[in-house]
Amino acid sequence: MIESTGPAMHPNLERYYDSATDRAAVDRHLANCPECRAWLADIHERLGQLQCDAFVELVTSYLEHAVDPQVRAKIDDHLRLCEGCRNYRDQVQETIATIGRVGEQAEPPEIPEQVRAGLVAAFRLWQREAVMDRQPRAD
Amino acid sequence: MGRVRGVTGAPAVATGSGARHPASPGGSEAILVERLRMGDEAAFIGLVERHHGVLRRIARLYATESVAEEVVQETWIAVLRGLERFEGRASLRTWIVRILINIARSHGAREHRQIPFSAFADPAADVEAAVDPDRFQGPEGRFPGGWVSFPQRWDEQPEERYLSSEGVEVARRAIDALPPAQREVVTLRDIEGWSSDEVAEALAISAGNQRVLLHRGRSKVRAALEAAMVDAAARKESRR
Repeated sequence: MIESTGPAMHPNLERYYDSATDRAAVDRHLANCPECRAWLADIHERLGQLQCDAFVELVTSYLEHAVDPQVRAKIDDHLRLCEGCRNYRDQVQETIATIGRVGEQAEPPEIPEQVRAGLVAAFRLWQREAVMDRQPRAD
Repeated sequence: MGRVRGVTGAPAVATGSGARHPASPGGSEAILVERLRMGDEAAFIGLVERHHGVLRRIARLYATESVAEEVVQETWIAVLRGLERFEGRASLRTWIVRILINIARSHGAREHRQIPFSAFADPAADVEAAVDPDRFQGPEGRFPGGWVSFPQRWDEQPEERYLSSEGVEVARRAIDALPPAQREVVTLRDIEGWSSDEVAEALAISAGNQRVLLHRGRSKVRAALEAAMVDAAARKESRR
């Protein structure tokens, strides 16, 4: 959605490439507004700082907070301008959540009684051996 | 390059909604280890119960159901035998899982299901794109490197419902189909909820390698979910 600020019809040009934007309407405004044309040129330059195909390779590091501050700043700015990459980032987060649900579905495996008894026996045997190892030799 | 360690013995950071139990912090682990060394059977049973599930799930990445069960039992024996040597530098959980993985790998070698160590070698040596390059504009495009068409939102219907139902099965199959090293990292991070440090510790790889494997694994699962939803939408459309 385009927001106007002030008495003149100044759109929020950071939303210019959003799918919901009526670009024809904004373009009519741009025809008469050199300030906004300059603003849009600046936005194009900012978009050139980090391409979408680069972002998708950085998204994991970004979500882990494992990118350099300068790169992080570029990514944050790109996300302000780019609905596609916002959606992609959100898709990755939904993917992580869905993967988490795979774990919830898994039956917590019962420890079969036999196995439990076997482990207890092994523990007791280990204990006895450990205790024996610690005894001074009766020479 | 030093590996960054968690401050308190690496408690888990949940990365997925299915995140499981965090590792105990360093202090209470030292107490537990001491109790085990002194023959506290209840402490041992408690430890087994806490970890049996995750050990079974990890063993299943390498082996069939019955072999996995064997691997887990051998692991507990090896844990007891190795307890004297355990110095507490790693968390108990990552130490146990590391023992498990070594045992699982040697079983795999016997059954010719080995995950080659080269699978964990520097994955950055291989180039793998997270997203099909066709999804992006080429050098002649209006925005080189920009999306040809934007990815969809998944927090609206019907996608949101799909991701809570059929989507989970799609994700499960996508994870099963991952190359082994990626499957391990995605399982430990996003299913078991381990931290990046714990996974790097358990798999004996660098944090960077771990991240690359996670990135690739997650990217494939995302792509599988996207394809499945496009497919489901197309089938629904064709039924109208």
